[in-house]
Amino acid sequence: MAGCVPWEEFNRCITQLLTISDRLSDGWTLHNKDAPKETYLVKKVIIPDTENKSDLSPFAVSLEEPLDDVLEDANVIREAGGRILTWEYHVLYSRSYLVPVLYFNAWTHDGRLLSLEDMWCRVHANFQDSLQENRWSVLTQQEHPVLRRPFYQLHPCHTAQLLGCFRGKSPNIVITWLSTVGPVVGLTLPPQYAEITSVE
Amino acid sequence: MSAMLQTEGSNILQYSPFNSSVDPSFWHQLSHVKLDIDRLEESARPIWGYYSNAVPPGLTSNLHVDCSAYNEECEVQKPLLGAYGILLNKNTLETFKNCNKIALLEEHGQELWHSITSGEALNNPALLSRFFLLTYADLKKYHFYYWSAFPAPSFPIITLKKQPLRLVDTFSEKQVTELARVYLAVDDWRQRGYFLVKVGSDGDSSSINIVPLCDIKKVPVAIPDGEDIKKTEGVYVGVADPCPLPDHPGWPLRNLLALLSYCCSELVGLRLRVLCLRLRLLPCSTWSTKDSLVLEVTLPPISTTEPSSPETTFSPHSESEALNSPTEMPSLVNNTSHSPGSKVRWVGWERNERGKFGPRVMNLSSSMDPVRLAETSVDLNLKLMKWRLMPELDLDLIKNTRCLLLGSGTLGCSVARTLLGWGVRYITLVDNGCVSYSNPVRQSLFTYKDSLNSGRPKSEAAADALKAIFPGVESCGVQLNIPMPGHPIGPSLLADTRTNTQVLEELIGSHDVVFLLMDSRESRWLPTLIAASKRKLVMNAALGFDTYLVMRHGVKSDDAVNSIPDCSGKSIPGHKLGCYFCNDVTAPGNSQRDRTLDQQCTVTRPGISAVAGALAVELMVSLLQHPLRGYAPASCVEECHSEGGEEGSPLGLVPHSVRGFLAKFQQVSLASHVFSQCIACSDKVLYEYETRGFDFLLQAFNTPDYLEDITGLTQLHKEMEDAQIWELSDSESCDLE
Repeated sequence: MAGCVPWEEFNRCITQLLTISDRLSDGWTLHNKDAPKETYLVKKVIIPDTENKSDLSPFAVSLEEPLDDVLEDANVIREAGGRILTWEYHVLYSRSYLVPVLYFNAWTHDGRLLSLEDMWCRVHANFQDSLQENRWSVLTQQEHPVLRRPFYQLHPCHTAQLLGCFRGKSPNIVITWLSTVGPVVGLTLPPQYAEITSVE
Repeated sequence: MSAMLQTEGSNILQYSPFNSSVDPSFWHQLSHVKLDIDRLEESARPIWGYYSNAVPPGLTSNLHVDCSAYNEECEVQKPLLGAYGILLNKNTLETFKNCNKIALLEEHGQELWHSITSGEALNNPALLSRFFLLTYADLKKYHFYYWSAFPAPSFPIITLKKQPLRLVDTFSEKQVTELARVYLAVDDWRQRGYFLVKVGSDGDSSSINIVPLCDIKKVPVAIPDGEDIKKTEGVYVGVADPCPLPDHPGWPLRNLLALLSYCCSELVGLRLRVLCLRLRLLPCSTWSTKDSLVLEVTLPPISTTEPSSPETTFSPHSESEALNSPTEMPSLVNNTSHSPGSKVRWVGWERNERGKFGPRVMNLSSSMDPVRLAETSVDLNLKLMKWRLMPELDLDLIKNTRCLLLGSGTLGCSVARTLLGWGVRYITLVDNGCVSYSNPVRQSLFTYKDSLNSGRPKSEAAADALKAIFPGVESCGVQLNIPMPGHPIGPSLLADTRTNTQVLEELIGSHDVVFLLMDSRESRWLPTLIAASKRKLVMNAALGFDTYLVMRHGVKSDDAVNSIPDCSGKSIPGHKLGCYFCNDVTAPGNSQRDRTLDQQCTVTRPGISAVAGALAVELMVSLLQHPLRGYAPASCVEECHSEGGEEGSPLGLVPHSVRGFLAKFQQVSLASHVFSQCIACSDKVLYEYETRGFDFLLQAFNTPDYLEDITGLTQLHKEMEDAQIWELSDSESCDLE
């Protein structure tokens, strides 16, 4: 299919993406470099978590120690600890579909992974309506092919079809694809990726 | 701003502490290191952490550790900064709890102090970014306990004479962007955390330079007397500041000022410009330093670092004493001491989520426990069916249906496995036999091993096999003899029979669906009666040599008014559907005369049990998805392929019975009415059972013709014989209406 991306092209595209990311300090890193055809890109994004409250378990409370006097410290400002939500985005290559696949996960400060329903609620409002029809064929949970842990995935079954539209128009099909599907789950690429891509 | 000066004496410089943020991947890696490399070793292991000075408002300064913590080299990407960490993983919760936290802090503070006093930290200032992580990994429950500390000396106490300035208040727009550019051009992260900034006097943005901290003695750092802090030109002491608060710097500045006050005594008493460099990504994707803070700091002499609280010494040998009465320890301030670190009081233990000194806990069972992962995957697989094909499917209903399987042979095994496939979590298997050598090849839950040593009890072996296949299932095996009518109970068996009946009643009462999967007709009578009385859904499967019958029993309605009339002969409402015995005109017990399908079941084509067992489960599932459940009407017209929605279950039709004939590879769906003289489910029999209980049952067990007598079948037989019109072989076709 026209939208299929051979591994060599994928590899070239992510190398270029990394170069741009490094230039912008945008935070993408290459993982699993030693495994041929299993390298992937990772970016971590930390945002304030306004929704998830976690109560410390009574057991954790029982482990507290009365150190306040010993550790008395006038030089500390004690702010209310802002909770964070960590998002991790992985760009992998699907050998079954011959296209890039976006895997992602998000977890709260205490390590709890967001559920699929939570994920859906966080899908950008602009996309919710258009995806409502077949939302679960777009967003599913899968075992990460390298890490072997549950990850969320934007299902690659329509990717080749989508990429077919950009064939011949995009110098870097992975960047084009990522900037198209990323915003669905809160991942945005700075416009410099487009500018730099079109120049090179 | 007012926060700085809120109470008397509080215009001292206060730092915002780090929050530790441990990525689940760190624990994945720790489990691996623990199980495969460290095992019971408890020694400290160097790890890497990282933090960022590009923290948007709303977040706090976080120090992160993830799986990269175990790398040999710190591989942080700009703009991240590495931190030197030590992992202290304890083998037991006890040692985690009991280790002396103050002594630990002291020990690791000493290492920081060594980096400072040796001057090493001037050359590699990243040595000032230190932390240690005390952990205990409960690898059975996948609970991880951790407590971080970011050691810092309790001095110097800096009194701020002026409010912190925002960098945009002194720098031009061009300069804040240029500073970000030159700062991010520093490739070595070790030099990006603590540094000097030289700003040229011409106000030209191109004259901003980052200078390594080790050059501090070569450049004029102090602000000349009388010069205003707002004057842009000069040399700034720079620190990458992870804190987004408007009035407070983050933790790293603290150790930097300690370093300067020890190593650069010539600067003590002089005014310094401190630049807390904070990065911010502008909407146009360029970096700016506009949110950075500029502080005017005067370093106090080190010998009077803590005028208000005496410095104390903690000896490892008097830990408990130190814990109990730290403030009463003698002050040992001595400028000429060779080990000044021992005089320093150390702070830096992190507080937990509720602001107390204590560890945090991360529960990762849902992403690490293989049992939980298996459960999630099984459910997910089913959800895909719902999401992709059938949004109206109620999977939780299926999952929470408690299934009782009477019989754990070929049918029982096949039914149980298909139930697992549908995600059913609660399965009870009943049988009275043991696994024999011939069983494992046909009965899919058993292996050869189960048949050794006279064989394991089938129900127990099957329940264990289900757990071995899927540990998320709550399966249980019950060895039980089901009392049968026409099998007289002698006095020696009376107590057992009474117990067995009671157990069966309780089992049926505590489940939602009863599967009749035994190899005899007689043993189906008692559970049919009890389930009819308790209004339970009954799924029945019976095998012939190459034929099978799968049916659902009608469910009695308590509400006579609600009874729906027959739908013009096309379908029969669920409460008017017959049971297994409604088609018979003889009571079980004298089985030699009237053989039914199931009574030949030991000689069956091997594939047939898998077919019938699977059908029984699929029929149950279709029925559960029907809004009327057991009361769903069954079509009695064959080939009823009209619009799928007609029967009301998203999965399609819910026939009363399915009969298959393997010799012709044919299958037909049939429906038949409840029989008012049925020996198992007629009102008369139910009334006798419900009013007289075990006494009635005993009479049925002991007296072969009793059931036929009370239901009037005896009379019917007599009439039929008189009329000479009935032939037993016709009985099936008579059902068809």
